[in-house]
Amino acid sequence: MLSSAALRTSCACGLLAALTPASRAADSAVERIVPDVAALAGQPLTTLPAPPAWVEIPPGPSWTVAKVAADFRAATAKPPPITYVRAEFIRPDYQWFLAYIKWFRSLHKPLHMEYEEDAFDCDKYSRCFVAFANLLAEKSGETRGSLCVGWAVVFNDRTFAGVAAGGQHAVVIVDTTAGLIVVEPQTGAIIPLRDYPNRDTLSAFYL
Amino acid sequence: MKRLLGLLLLLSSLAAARTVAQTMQLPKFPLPALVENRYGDTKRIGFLHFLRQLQDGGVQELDDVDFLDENYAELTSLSLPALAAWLEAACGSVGVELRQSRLHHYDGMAYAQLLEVATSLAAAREIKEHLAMPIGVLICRRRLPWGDLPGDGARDAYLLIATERGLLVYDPPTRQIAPLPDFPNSSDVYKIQF
Repeated sequence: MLSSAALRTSCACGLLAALTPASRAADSAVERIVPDVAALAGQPLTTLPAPPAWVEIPPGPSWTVAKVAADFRAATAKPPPITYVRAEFIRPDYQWFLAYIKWFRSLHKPLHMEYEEDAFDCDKYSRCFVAFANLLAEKSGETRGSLCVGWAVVFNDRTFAGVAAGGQHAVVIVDTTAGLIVVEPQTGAIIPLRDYPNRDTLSAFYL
Repeated sequence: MKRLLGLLLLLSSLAAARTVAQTMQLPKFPLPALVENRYGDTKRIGFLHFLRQLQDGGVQELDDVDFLDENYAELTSLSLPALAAWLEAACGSVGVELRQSRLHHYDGMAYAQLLEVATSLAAAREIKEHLAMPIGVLICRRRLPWGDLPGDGARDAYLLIATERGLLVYDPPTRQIAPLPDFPNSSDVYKIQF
């Protein structure tokens, strides 16, 4: 909930965001949200199992979108377009990544992750997998970039990891130190992209 | 006997403390307030609603808009301060000062995903909401400055949230927010994904 002071400074259009005095001085046209910290007070914390120990990535050149694209081209004749924000990434250690998959599976119970069309379906599972991977990297102090972990939209031409053929689906794709790996985040099943039965029907990759 | 009991208590509390130290804690996932229709049900919006608002907001390339779900809820703009607080607190719980994150390799898509899945889980778990949460990502070229953010031509990403006030663009590190029609770079969008 916004404070009365915040409401008084909200913009003429009525948007419930507030300007701080400093920001108003800097730019009168920009609105800013005042986070409602009080909303969090007294709320129970969400406790998750202990995450796997981070494996440091040696200093060196970052992994780039161009390299990811090259890895895709090596694995499939029909690489998907890649949507990205930053052009450089950190490739996770393969062994850490295996431990992370196991950890992510252990979140299903405490987070009550259950498949439900639209509300929490395959793309939410995939984005959840990616979001927590990046969160753990940040927790470890990795600030050189996001992990090279993304999710893809695929036409499920063939059955994989218990997901029946037919229809659109979302899976996770990770460029690890051992190459591109496809993950079915609902089951934890993994397979190298070059062996993934639907590698030629990927329609988009969000990195 | 008392000494033995005391020792056992001490050992168990140490074990408990060790367990707590090893676990990871996040603030309770945020449940957004949803807009209701005239019948008191959650208002349902689909891609035509989004496309109309994107067009009104100045987005020219509607081919670059991806929808992963069929039906979405609409958030009340009153929810946003609580969602912003959650995102900052969640980052803080893993040692990341969100407001300073642009000093490193800030990736707005990662934060959009985090907030979207957190609200989705809260809504599905707490109110059995079956609609997707309308928290997406807008990737664009910063051709024009927007508040603290320069017009340097860099690629950047923001949260795009459907509310009763229309689509709102939100940048977590600067806390800046703008209705899409007022966002200066809406004509330089690479991709929008809900």
